Amino acid sequence: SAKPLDFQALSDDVIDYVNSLNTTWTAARSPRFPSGNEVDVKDLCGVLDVKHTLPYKEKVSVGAIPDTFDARQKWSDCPSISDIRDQGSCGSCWALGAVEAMSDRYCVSFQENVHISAENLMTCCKFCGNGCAGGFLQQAWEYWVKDGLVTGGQYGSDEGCQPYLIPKCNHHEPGPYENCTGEGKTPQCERTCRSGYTTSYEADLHYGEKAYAVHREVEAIQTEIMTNGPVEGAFTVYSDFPTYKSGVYQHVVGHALGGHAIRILGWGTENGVPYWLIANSWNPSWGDKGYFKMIRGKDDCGIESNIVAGTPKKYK
Amino acid sequence: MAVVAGGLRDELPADAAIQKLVDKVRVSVEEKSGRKFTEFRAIAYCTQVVAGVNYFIKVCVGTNDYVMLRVYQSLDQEVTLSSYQLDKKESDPIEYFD
Repeated sequence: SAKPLDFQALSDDVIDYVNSLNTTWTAARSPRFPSGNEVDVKDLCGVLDVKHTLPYKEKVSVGAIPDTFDARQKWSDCPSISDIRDQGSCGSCWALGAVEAMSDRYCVSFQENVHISAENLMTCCKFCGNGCAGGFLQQAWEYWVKDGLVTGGQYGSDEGCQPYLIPKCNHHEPGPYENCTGEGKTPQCERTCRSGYTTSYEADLHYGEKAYAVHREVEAIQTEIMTNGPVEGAFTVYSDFPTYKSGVYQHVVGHALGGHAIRILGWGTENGVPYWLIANSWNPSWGDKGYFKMIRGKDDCGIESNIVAGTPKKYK
Repeated sequence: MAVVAGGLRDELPADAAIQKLVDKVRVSVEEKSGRKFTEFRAIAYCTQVVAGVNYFIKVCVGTNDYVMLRVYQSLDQEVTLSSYQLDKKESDPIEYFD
């Protein structure tokens, strides 16, 4: 296919184009998105000139880094590492990516199986940003250290102190969930637990010991993941990304739709292409069972430039 | 540099794809607002990555008369009007709203 110069209807043309490239990933005919004109994107979406609030973690050497690593296998007694959450029609990815990695880290460090509440973080952390209107990753981790976060599972799970209140949607294919209407108001911050939960809000708070940024180097990120568990990262979503189905994603076509946060849990190489293994928060019906692989070592879409993490404090 | 993840992308001029989106939700806006528009022309928009994409679109509906639309497109391509704001001016910036 010819390179589509006009993105006025990013649809079959662009999907066919991606697939005709024989690149490292395949796009699916559905889902697909309309898109705007191709623009010269020099700036990353939503990148503001804000100083890092977190110190960088000092580099440590742990010896040989394996060619392939999957946190789900390394810590197979930690079920949260295999979870795929769903942010719904709310821009809360920054909170989800954070609490997913925090939850994993309680298990990696203390064998505690827990789901830290995305609801609590996105509604109560005021200096993190604006709830469903987006937020900062670093501040999310800082809030965890300063104020602590209660537990809480997915929407409708009735699990933990504050489960997620924004509904899941059907994505990609008809599924068990309702269709989203997009009415995604940020819920109020509540300093109480749901009715029927027997622990008090204060007693349920889980704190972080330390929060830090990780250097923009493949080995530093790998060392952090294999030592302490999955990390949170962010990248620019281009309009070709939502069509991802399998393979190793790298940006090939389309314009920037916005910044997006995710959880990175491993790495490997597929057909000679190094990748990061990443959990998205668009529920398991999207992409490769909710996961995707993204090219590693090129800082594609900024994926290696925004890594944050922290260490948990033992609960009780 | 720090990233606002899940925030609004910079404003872009509307194109035919965005006009298509607003055409799809025009009837919903008319029904909910009780107004009938003779003109409904997309001017500019911002996108937000959610599970799907939110579009915040400035639409011209008459002489210095604009409406702001929030349109959600799910990952299975369903397009829905989430909300809207009436009585906007040409100079009003596109901002996030519930």
